[in-house]
Amino acid sequence: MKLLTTNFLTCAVKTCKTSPLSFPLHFKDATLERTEIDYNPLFIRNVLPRVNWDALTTTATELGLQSLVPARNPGTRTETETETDIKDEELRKLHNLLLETGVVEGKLVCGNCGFEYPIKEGVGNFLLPAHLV
Amino acid sequence: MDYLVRFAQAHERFRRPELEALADLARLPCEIVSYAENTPFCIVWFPTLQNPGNANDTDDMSGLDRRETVEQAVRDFESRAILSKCIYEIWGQGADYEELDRDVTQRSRHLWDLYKHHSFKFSIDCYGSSQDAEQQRRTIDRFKYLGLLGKIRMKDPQVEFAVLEEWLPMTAAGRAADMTAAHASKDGTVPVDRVAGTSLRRVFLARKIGDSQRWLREKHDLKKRPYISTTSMDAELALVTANMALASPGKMFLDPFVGTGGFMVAAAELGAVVMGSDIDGRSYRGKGAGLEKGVGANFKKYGLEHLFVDCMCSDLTNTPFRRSARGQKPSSQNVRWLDGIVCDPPYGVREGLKVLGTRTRRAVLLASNADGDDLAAAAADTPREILVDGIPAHKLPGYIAPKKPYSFSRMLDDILDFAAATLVDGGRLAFWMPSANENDLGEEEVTVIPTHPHLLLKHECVQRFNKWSRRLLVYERLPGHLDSKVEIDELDGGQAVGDRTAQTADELNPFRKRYFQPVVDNKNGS
Repeated sequence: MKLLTTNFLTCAVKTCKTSPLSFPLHFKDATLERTEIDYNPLFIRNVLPRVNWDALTTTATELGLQSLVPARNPGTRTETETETDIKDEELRKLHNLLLETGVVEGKLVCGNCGFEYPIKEGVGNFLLPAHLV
Repeated sequence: MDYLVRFAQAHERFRRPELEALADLARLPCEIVSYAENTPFCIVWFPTLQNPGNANDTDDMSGLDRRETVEQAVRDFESRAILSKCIYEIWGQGADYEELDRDVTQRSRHLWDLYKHHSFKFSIDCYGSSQDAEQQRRTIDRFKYLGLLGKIRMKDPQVEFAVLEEWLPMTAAGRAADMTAAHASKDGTVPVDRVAGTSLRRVFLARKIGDSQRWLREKHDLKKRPYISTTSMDAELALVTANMALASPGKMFLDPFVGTGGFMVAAAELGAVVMGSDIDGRSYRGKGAGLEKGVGANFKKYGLEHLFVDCMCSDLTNTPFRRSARGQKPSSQNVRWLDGIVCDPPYGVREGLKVLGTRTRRAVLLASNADGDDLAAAAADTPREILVDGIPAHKLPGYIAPKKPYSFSRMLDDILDFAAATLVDGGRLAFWMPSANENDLGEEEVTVIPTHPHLLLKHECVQRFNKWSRRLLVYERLPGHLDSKVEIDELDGGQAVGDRTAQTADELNPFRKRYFQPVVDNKNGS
């Protein structure tokens, strides 16, 4: 599961949705994997404004990759800023972090209810047992 | 200048919506001059490309440069089409060849010299009839008056002309007249093809501008795809679906009922970055444990691996995907993040509709005995955590989450609501919905199209079969954050209560019920 994906995931339990603790989910016993993927600057540019930066920083820090996250989301411009183009070098770094870095084995844990979602061979399982539905 | 879109004569109900989607994709408004479902020839024009008398365009661009710019815009437009073959610039048209010659001379004389020394080829495209080689040669010779001096090259010519004939089935009156009239004649009567039962209606001379991407149908042919299942969507329609959802480079797409991933590869083929989820992980994994033997094999075969992000196990009603919260101002916390959602939700015919949860004891009791003991039922109502040797069952390897039947209309509402909470403004939801054609009495059934206050229905394309139909519904996310007042449970409270007591697949799914019921033919009955 790629780091980009985890930025779009919260706890599946309905009562957790309103809790700020349910996002982002936290990695536990994670085995990292790097897959080389063609650089797609157009996509990175488009998706950056939708990435929650605090959550990405938390996730990257938990995986020991904090050095790859810039302090501020280059995809979101403040109103005073003009058309300053994002540096290609910065985009490549984020491409590397969001799309080339993933977790093959491990768990994603909800900070609110503590439920653990297993990840096996890169595939996450977010199905809930009956007592949590 | 008018253009001719050469459609394939198939999926007629999808062709106009696809043209509209192409106009949105290319940001090039396109207006239809003439279109009919019984012919593959559609005439269009592009209002923003035509300003020949405008003084501005002579400023920094010569006529030829301008022509090339216009041509490139039209070529780009057509390059995304699936349901048409190519697009032509119309040089003339008529009901017969004499009329065509006059129109060509009048309409496009100023263009003849531009192609005087180009290598060229002619092709003949007869719809509803045919020409043998000798007739084709005569047809081509007729256009000597264009004064083309370039070499004839059948391979990679600089310019390609086409003569397009439209022959349509004769009316009963036409057929009767034909019995008395002589064969294809010169005395003013319409040429007739007796074998095909057609007569000539229109003939065009046109210059080819660009091809579509209809060739993708062969590339994605399911027979040659490594990983499919019995419910895989036909490749052509999957591509059309992704097209109508405006899949294109730079965009983020999701299929929440991914199955064997047909819509994911279609959207990726058109350039989007894709993700999938399904309640049943076996569907996309295939026989292996990872994705390599399942959907991964398809992405690999098509060389689209760089556009694949993830597949996961999840259920739409208890989705882990980040949704924008209701009634909150947009902030970095609840940004909507998807450009498109494409899916073919389970119809509940071959496989029952399922959602996470267990059938509650209370509902079972209520169903079997209306006077059931309420207290005992309530106690059994809430499922408790199941322990196996003191370990929660769901933490054990091989645990399979229990599922319960799911109402069809409830599922549709959930899909729309999920789309409203995750799609960016202008983002699109395209999904397939089945319906029965006739009700119990054999009358035409009116299909209710689901609606949502934040989604605008853009297209409804019907594919009709004998007893049932399915339709592709395309919605666009309207601007504005989610309204706190709209709650699905409030919208159809009555329906939801009904769902709680309904237990069988048929009770929950009127479409399934109709599908399996024998057709009652009482139209001529007592």
